[in-house]
Amino acid sequence: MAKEEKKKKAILVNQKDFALFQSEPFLDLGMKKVSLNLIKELLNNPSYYDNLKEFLNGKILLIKIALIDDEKKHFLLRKENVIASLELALKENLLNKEEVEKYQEIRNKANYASYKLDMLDKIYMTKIDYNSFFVDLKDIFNVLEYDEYSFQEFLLDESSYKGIPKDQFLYICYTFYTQEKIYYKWNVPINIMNNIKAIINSKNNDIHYFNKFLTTIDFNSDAQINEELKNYILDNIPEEYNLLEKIIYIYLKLCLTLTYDPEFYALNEEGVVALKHGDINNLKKITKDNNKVVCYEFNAILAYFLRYFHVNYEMSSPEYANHSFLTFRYDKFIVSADAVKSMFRGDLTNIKLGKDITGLDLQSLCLKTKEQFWSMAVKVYSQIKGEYSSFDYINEYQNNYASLSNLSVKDRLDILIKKLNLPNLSGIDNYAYLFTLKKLIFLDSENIDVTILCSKENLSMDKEGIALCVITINPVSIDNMESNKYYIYNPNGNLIPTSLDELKEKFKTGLFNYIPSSTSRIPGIEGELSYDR
Amino acid sequence: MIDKIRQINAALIKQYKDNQEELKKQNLIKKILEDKYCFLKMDIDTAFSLLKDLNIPDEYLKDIYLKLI
Repeated sequence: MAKEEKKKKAILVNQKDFALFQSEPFLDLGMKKVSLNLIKELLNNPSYYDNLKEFLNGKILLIKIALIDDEKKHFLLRKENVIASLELALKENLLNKEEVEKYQEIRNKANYASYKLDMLDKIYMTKIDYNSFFVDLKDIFNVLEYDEYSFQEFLLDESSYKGIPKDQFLYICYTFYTQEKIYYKWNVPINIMNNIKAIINSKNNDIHYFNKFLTTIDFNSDAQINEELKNYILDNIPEEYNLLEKIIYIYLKLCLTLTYDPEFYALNEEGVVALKHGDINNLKKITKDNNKVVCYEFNAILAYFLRYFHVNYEMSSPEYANHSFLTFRYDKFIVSADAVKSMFRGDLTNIKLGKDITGLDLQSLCLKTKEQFWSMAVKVYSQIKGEYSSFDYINEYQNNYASLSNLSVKDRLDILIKKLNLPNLSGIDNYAYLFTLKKLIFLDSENIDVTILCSKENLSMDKEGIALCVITINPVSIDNMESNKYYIYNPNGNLIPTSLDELKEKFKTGLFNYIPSSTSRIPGIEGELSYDR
Repeated sequence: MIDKIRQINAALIKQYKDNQEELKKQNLIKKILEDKYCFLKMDIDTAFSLLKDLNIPDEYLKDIYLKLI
């Protein structure tokens, strides 16, 4: 870039001036110090003065002082600091006569008061969710200029303002402020900026859902699902549920009904199985009994129900066969739904184990909205699973009453192995259950390792690989490989003792392979320590 | 099995009605047991501790725990 062009972007200075503009004497603004030398130079140097004029006119947003030979070395000045520095220098008589005149010449152009005077009798028009609002700007200015205490009171007061519901009015103030770029153009009083921040961060008001999700964005919005599955999912939804509760019910029931395809996971999302799942027409074959899905199929099925109930949503990915989740809006609730946030700890496995919902994320800071949402979610979950409670009581018991048992490692292993021989789940759900038990029964991973890998052994004609689990246990430590015991735990829940040599042989012949997306390794094979899941 | 555990807890609540310390503990256990999946949400040591607080003899702890998870 030529130096003349660069001047439009930054004020370029030599090393000496660069140091001078960051040195004493300083104008102390409290949170920031600005060099008086810099402020004087901005007024006295003609090209810097032009830059200052453009800055105060809102044509450039920041003043950038950079080294002429290395623009990466620079510092920035924001408008409020430049204005505050000039005002302070003026007030403390630190400017000479010419400097004062120069500043007075441009001062009015940066004047928020004169801008406001021009706007006071105007009407601001905006739309919120297809509804038009016409608001006197004097009302907007009036509220934005409240002092901190009055503004907090205003936020907490639930009554309407000038006939407009409070949250809508706050949104209108925020929209006006940001659309007009008032902050960048004018030396806005600090309380206005603070009030805008208070609106954005308010835990008492909800403005962030307005004008969002006014339509559905889904490139596969004509996808169809199996009629039997549809009827099964919709069956028994309590009639008294509101629409959001119905959606939560459907989400949870889908988590209970469907399961992640272990072959797809084992083959690292490749092969014929990937082609099958990648074909959107496969959705019509998914039923309560033929229930193996992957993440984007789960989303597509959930999306079908959202369309069924005319709820707008957006897919996180425009392409069908990519990991994705969806976000939908009902009234003021914007919710992201991702049942496969984690392979073994996502809702698709965890809901079957009665664990807390982790795949529904409410996009709101407002405490009341959060409370309303989770109250509905807990109610629906209780109904669908029969029981639901939080971890709080368990934590309280642990903190006040629990003591370490004298269970030996041998006892713990015995419990785990006995439990694994009584499966009531299958596939990925079974492995998720195994990981849950491992975490509960063992305090740390020193005595046990669980690795999921891809097996091509004894496959049926329609499979290219399956997810298989190898459990390594040692009462002392699994690093002590000579005395490790190894078990193969297959998707049907059968626990079969094996040996390190047998396992190595299977890896050597290609019957077993590690899944590329997993960093877990069997102790003793490839010499790597396992990664604790 | 969880229903039987709840019954034991209910009996202990009646038994300890004059012992504030024990009653407080048993009432907390009652709240935990409202969740039929609670044993899948606490580690084995906490579970054994809780079962012992319900006066389950040591020799039965493993078997009962297996049924609860």
